[in-house]
Amino acid sequence: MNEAPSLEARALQKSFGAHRVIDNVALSLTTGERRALIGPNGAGKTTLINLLAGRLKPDGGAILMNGVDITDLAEAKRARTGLARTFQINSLFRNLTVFENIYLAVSEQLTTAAHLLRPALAEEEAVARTEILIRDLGLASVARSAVQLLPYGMQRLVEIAIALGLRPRVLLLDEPAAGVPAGETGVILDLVKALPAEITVLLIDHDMDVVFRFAERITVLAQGMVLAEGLPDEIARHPRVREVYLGKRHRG
Amino acid sequence: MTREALDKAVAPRSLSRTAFGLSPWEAVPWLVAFAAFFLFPGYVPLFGQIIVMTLFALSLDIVVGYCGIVTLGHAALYGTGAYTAGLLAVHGWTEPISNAICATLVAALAGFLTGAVILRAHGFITVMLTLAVTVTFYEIANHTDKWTGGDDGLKGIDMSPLLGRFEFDIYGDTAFFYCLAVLFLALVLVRLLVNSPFGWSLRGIRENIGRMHAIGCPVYRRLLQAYTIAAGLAGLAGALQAQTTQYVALRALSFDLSGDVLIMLIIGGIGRLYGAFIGVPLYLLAQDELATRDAANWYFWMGILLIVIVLFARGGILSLASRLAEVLARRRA
Repeated sequence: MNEAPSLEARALQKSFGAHRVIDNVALSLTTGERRALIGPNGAGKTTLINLLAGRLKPDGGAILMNGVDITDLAEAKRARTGLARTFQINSLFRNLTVFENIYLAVSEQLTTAAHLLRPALAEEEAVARTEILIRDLGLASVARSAVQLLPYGMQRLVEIAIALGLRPRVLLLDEPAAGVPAGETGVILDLVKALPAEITVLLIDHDMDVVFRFAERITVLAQGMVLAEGLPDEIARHPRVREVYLGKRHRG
Repeated sequence: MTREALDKAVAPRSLSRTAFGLSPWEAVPWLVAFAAFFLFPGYVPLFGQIIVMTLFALSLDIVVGYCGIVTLGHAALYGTGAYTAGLLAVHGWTEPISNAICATLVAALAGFLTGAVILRAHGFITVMLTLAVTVTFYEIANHTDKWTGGDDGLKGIDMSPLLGRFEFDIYGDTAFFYCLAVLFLALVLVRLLVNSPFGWSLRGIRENIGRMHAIGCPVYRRLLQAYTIAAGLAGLAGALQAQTTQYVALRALSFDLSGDVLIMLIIGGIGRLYGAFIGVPLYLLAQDELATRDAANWYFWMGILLIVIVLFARGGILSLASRLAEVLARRRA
């Protein structure tokens, strides 16, 4: 198959001052792939997501989506071409309701958000798609509540729902279960696992059980460089990976 | 707390609650206006001023309340409208409605051009830029005194009768109903705007501009659209002011006026559509009352009132009222 990768990074470079955070990183995801990105704290995982999503500009290298160079595309334009991401720390519209939070994303994706004079609730398709997402994510009972009043686990669901509202072709998940009490992470992981097969997913997570159950391939980042990449059991056996990262926990 | 209880307890500054249907409360401003007209005929010119300032504050609410951009430059747009209307009238274009439409368009253009610069900045820099725009506009009007009258103000504005029939009389009756009708149309427009997907996206930008970028919102374009519309409405308020008082003072372009209208809006409540309808009458009536009772110190009392409101009713009188209503509703439940 000669199909262009769904998402590709070539020789990405990023420095903050003299500190090189991302150093010659290459990454290639096929359409519908489930990829995990792991690495110790400070390895540059979130920076890499920010580069891919367009929040940060790389100092060098290129980013491509389905073979199209999007390196110079602004963050919002990348989102409009089907690249969605979630944030490690919730980035929600805290005073607005769950419905409104998701609606904002859906209406941008439908481009109905530019409508000036029609009531937002009269946009039938946007409302319908928002309601479907709310139902699918089990948020119906809190749809009219302000997001800031929800338990943290539910806020994390809204965080993902906003990204899904964009009908992404590529989804970057930055520790979707971060900060959620251990007993409540199941719902979020089930959701991640049940994502539509055609979406390409790049997942950052610290929980190795989650990573190894979810990922088809794993990329290990350390000190801004790709330390290893491969199938889950290759990574699990990789001596350097065990040394810098897995070892601590698996020995534990 | 169960989810149902949580649902009930929550009354956020929500969008959907206000999106459909009219609340009976929305008739109140207009009923009060009509009642005031018949009960206090001596005050009708003051009421006319209040209506114009309410329109001005309503346009400011789009920028401050809905877009979340603090501006000290809104008078630049108001003054642009006022001088456009005044200058056109002085040079013979005295038909009020087309005159006001021209002023609106010129102010909208001024808003578009200045907004294109201002909205590229963020936070504190934005405030400084809006201030710079106001000062620049003020000085332009001051130095072109051959046309604008400079410090003496622009005089000699004499409008034709409204719709060819209603003279602008000395009692201010025509002006009152003219301004009230314009305010009503403006409110209908702004109400449609803030309840539209566009208006929702503005609130999204106010709440979390970063996430709006991440969901693909063309933030700059949205803000510029909103700023241009608000500028047009501010200019329309300025035009009404020029037409009905037959005079434009340099103060119409001043930083002072920008600050005053912001204070009026904060008193009433920002981002709530009707904040202007509470804050402006309260401020101007209090000013009128205090100025006659204690002319030397009225600004001092205004200051005290503002401190009390900012400390105890953050979000303005409207938010205080809605919190009270919630408490009462919960007690009844």
